[in-house]
Amino acid sequence: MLNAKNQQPEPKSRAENRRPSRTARYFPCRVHNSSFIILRSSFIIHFISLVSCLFLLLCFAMPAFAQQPTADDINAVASNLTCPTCTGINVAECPTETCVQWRAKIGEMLAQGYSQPEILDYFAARYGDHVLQVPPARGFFQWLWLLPTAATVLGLALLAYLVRSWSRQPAPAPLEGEDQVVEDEYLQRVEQDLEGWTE
Amino acid sequence: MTANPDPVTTPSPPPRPRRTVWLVVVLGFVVVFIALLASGLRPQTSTLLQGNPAPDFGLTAFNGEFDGQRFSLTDMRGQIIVLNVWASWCVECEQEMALFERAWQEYREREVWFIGVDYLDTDTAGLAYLERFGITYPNGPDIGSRIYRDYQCAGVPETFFIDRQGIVQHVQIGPMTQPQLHGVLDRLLEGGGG
Repeated sequence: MLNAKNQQPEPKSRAENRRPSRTARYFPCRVHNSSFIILRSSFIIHFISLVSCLFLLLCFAMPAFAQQPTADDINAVASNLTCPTCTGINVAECPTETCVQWRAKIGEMLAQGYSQPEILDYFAARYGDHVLQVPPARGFFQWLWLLPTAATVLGLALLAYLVRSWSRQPAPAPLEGEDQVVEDEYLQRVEQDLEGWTE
Repeated sequence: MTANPDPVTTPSPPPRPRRTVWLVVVLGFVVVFIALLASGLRPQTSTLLQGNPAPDFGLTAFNGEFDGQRFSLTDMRGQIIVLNVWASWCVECEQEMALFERAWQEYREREVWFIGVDYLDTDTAGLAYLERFGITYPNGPDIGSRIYRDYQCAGVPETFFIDRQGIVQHVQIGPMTQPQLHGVLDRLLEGGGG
């Protein structure tokens, strides 16, 4: 029976004495040509998996790393919305519970990376166009844009027409002959009357 | 006293058609403007709906077992509907929420549906509110405030009782009490109006 402790190690071949490559050191096992290819490809797969995991982790963690919006950022968006339960106060200045909730929602959306137009579109779609401080040029609200414009255009056209018609009116012809006399008599009478008043 | 003859006697020109066109345009504009103003003065109250067909509504529930389910008047024809418009910031709504939940549990088997319309709320606030009162009947956000507008609401809470034929039988403005709620529901179940 052989004692394991007394066993002499077999002399290593030349190839085995050679310093292992970096890949072989990373994978401490016997490296043959065919197995090296397999190990190398498995290393690449592992590397790609690791990078993918890191990327995914980063994607999920992005909201946490995203910059939290300041009160000014929130108010800049909120000032474009009207408090739906008050009269004419914008959401940035309104102390009601609704507006507190809406400001929180705006902050949430800004933190998620939504832009101001996107947030305003969301609020208009969710609660109706009437929550926007500047009415959109659609639906009933388009009349708010169309009517003043139409009124201005019509007014200017009317003014232009009147000015044009006045300027084209022929100047009254000077009175002559009998008419002139009548006119003069009339004027004389007026003059006399006026003199009577002044005296 | 004798009147002096007109010193300049020139025949007045016949009215030109262009002037008439202008007059019509301006008058039309004024009429449209007044009509728009008048439409704003039209009385808007939900009680006008009483005895009339209920406007159709569409609502996607966001709570409990009904989460994601779509409810509409057309699909629910033949059932009694209690449509309650509420908001989490409405203090008066709190008085009736627990009452509605109890009534829902009691009348559910008798084909009475309670539908909650969450008006001008964020989902977070609305759901927290429902959880606070343990509401299990379907509730959903009023997208675009359409239901509020179509039902001519003037505030919250407002509750509409719609019979099996889709007629609004009773409109409650403000919070309900238990005797009121049971009285209306029992009348509707008997087949009478609110």
